[in-house]
Amino acid sequence: MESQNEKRDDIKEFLDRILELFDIQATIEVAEEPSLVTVNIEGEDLSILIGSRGRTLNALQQIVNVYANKGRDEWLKVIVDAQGYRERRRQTLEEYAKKMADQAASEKRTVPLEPMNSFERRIVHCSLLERQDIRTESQGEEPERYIVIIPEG
Amino acid sequence: MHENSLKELLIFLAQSIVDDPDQVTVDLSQGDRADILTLKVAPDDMGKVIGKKGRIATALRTIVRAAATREGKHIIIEIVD
Repeated sequence: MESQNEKRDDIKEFLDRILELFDIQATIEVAEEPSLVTVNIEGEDLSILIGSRGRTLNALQQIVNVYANKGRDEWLKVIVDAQGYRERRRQTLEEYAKKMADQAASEKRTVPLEPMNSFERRIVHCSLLERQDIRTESQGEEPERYIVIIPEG
Repeated sequence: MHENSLKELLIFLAQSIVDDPDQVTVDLSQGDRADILTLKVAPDDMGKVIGKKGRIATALRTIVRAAATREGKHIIIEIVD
C-alpha cells in the first residue's frame, strides 16, 4: 500500500493534470494531517473551477476522493478548495443561518432554508446548535434536501 | 476549450477511478447544438463511474460541462458498457 506521502504527491499530480486540461494557470498547495489531505488551488480566476455555489469544486473533490482511496483500506479524506472559497462560503452560510434563525424566532414560525449538500447543512446545524430559541431539522430528499428552522418555546 | 481536450479530460477522470484503465474509451460525436461524449468502461467498472445514486456520473458531467463553458457548447455524456 502507498504511504500517505506518496498519495499526497499523486493527488497533486492528478489536480495539476486537471488544471492543464481546463487550461487554467494555478498553483496547488497541499497540507496534511493524519487521514486528511487539504488542497488549496490559487490562481487568477478560478470561477470556472468553483462553479455556481461550489458545484464544480464539490464534483472535483468527490472524484479526487475516489481516486485517492482506490485500493486503500483506511479512508483518506481529501478537501479541495480554490481561492479560499470554502471558508468564504462557510461565513456566508453562518450569516444566512443567523438571519433566518432570528426571523424564525421573532415571527414564531418555521423557516425553510434553500437546498444544500450535506457538508453545508452540517455547517448550518452546527452554527445554530447553541441557540435556545430555535432548533433545526433537515427535510426532503437529496439533492433537494434542505434545513428548516423551527421556533422553540 | 477544444472538444478533444474535453474528451481527454473525461478519459483522464474515468481512468483515475476505474480498476481497468485500459478499457476506458470515449467517443466524440459533434452536433450543431450539442456534442455527445460516449464513455465506455469495462463491465466490472460500471458501478465505479456511476456511483451510488448516480453521484459519480453526475460529478463527471459537472466537471466536463464546467470545462466546456468557455466554448458555450452543450455537452451530453452517455455511459455505456
